Amino acid sequence: MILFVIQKGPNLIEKEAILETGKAFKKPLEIIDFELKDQNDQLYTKNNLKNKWTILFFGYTNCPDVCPTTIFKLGQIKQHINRELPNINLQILFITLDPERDYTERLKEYLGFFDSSITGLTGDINKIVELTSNLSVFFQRINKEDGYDFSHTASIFLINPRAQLKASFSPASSIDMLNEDIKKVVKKTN
Amino acid sequence: MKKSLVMLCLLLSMTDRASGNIIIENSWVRAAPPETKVMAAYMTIENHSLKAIEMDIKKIISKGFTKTELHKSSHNGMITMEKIETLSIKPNESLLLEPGGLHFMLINPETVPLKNTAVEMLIFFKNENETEVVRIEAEVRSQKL
Ligand SMILES: [Cu+2]
Repeated sequence: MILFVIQKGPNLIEKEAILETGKAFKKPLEIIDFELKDQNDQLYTKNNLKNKWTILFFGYTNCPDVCPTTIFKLGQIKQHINRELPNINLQILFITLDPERDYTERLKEYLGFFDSSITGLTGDINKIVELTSNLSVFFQRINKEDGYDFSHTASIFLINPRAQLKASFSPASSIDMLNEDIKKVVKKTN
Repeated sequence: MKKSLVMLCLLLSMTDRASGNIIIENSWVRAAPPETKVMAAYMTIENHSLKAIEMDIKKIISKGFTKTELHKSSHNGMITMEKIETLSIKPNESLLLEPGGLHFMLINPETVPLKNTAVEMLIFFKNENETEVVRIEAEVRSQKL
């Protein structure tokens, strides 16, 4: 199975804060309505993104290297932002690209092990694809002798309290640089 | 009889650090939840010899796992993970296996090893006329210290 996703991206021309690790959008991208489930089997929709800031990343739990590294990084970033900007409500959201293996119980076990403060979402693959297309995330299943992996767009996304995409970052950046850039965007908006 | 004696000597020479030209340090395996099918191992591998040495990747054994592969993750725009088939280390160079880059992929654990235990690995190297095996005990832990 190969998924090709038509890219309909946010307007990159209107840049706002100049970031070291990514880009902020002057005109934030509206996120489409979606319905997924979190690791506790509760319905999760666009409304759950409102009234808080969200750092969103995509991945899959059978990813032993990059995904746990990203989870670790984002956990550090969350602690830093909570300390520096205590009035900001910030959540971390992980959406699986592999709902076939990542059903809710598996997500719960995985996130419970690495960082139970992260909300993990799974659900119908078509609904996940609608969301990835909306955010210009590309992913492709790579079949192996024993199982399969994914290659996918690396970006980490920052969603504002109106459920709009406000910025995207490269996960390869250092924790310190990401901290600075995220604070820059949040402060400028609030 | 002779053969088994040679074998025994070979086994005895496999120490945690130097069994000759190769020194492996700071090895660790990232702890993972009980249902995990794949784990990653990281370390620094130093070639202290005057010759380039090749990793004999196909022979590598991780005790308690059905298979070990060498992988490389990259995240330049896309996150990908590719299998590495050949790798050589130049004289007096060291090779870093670290999160988000090169790693050993330990596949299909009998049971997922717990935090603070260790995974025994035998890592094989060769050049034209020598082979070398390094035995390590990679500690299972959450993140690089
Ligand atoms: Cu791997």
